[in-house]
Amino acid sequence: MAWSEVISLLTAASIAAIIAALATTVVASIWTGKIDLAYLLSEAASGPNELPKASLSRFQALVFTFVIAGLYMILCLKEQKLLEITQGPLILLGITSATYLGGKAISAQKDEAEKQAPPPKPDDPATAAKAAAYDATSAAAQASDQAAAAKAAAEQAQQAAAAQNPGP
Amino acid sequence: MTTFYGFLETGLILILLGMAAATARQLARSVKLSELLSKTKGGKADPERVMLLFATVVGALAYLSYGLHEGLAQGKLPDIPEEFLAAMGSGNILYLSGKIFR
Repeated sequence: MAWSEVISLLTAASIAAIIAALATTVVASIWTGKIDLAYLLSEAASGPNELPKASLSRFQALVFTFVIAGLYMILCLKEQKLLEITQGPLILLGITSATYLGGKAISAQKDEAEKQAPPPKPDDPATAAKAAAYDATSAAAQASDQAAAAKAAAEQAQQAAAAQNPGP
Repeated sequence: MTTFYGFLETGLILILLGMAAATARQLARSVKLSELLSKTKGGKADPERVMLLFATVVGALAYLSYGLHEGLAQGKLPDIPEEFLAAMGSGNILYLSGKIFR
């Protein structure tokens, strides 16, 4: 074996070892949960206390990406060269990506519209009565606070007047 | 040299399998696949979602099987029939329509 071949083999082995170490670290981080992929297939949660829901468009994109990329890798390894990619798989990946983006845009638009819309009126009489009672209690508490503040102001004014005109 | 490339191929496949297993482990704990079929959590299954899920799973398995047979024989990534692409496009348009109008 010539020296140039030995050097190229050593270089290739070093690069492969570095890439393998990086890849192993990534896999270990995913396994232990340091890299969180738990919501890889979920769309954004609809509310602050809601858990994210599984998304069909994300699932579809993931499945086709894995199948096409996996098949390409198998064929490249078998042929020992980078193969040309035909139009069909590219169009299929385009369709799935467009659906994912479209779904994301629609969800974002709907969430924005829901945030701007006024809260719905309760249909249930019991709920309506509870809401009215809550409103009345809040109004009463507010009125009581205002009366206490007015009383304190009147007392202060009285004390100030007494200080200005002291009696005989 | 051939042994070296064989070793690299095996390592690459092992790393990818490990990554797939680790990802699947995380997803299995957080994702309910039944939620794929309805627009809201615990809602009724929508027909366009059922159709798209079926077409996705069957289409992916069919292409994988076809690719392993034809691709290995021809030595290139096999093309996808136009009819299948049209069907997938229609299914996805239906899915997006359901997302907008439901």
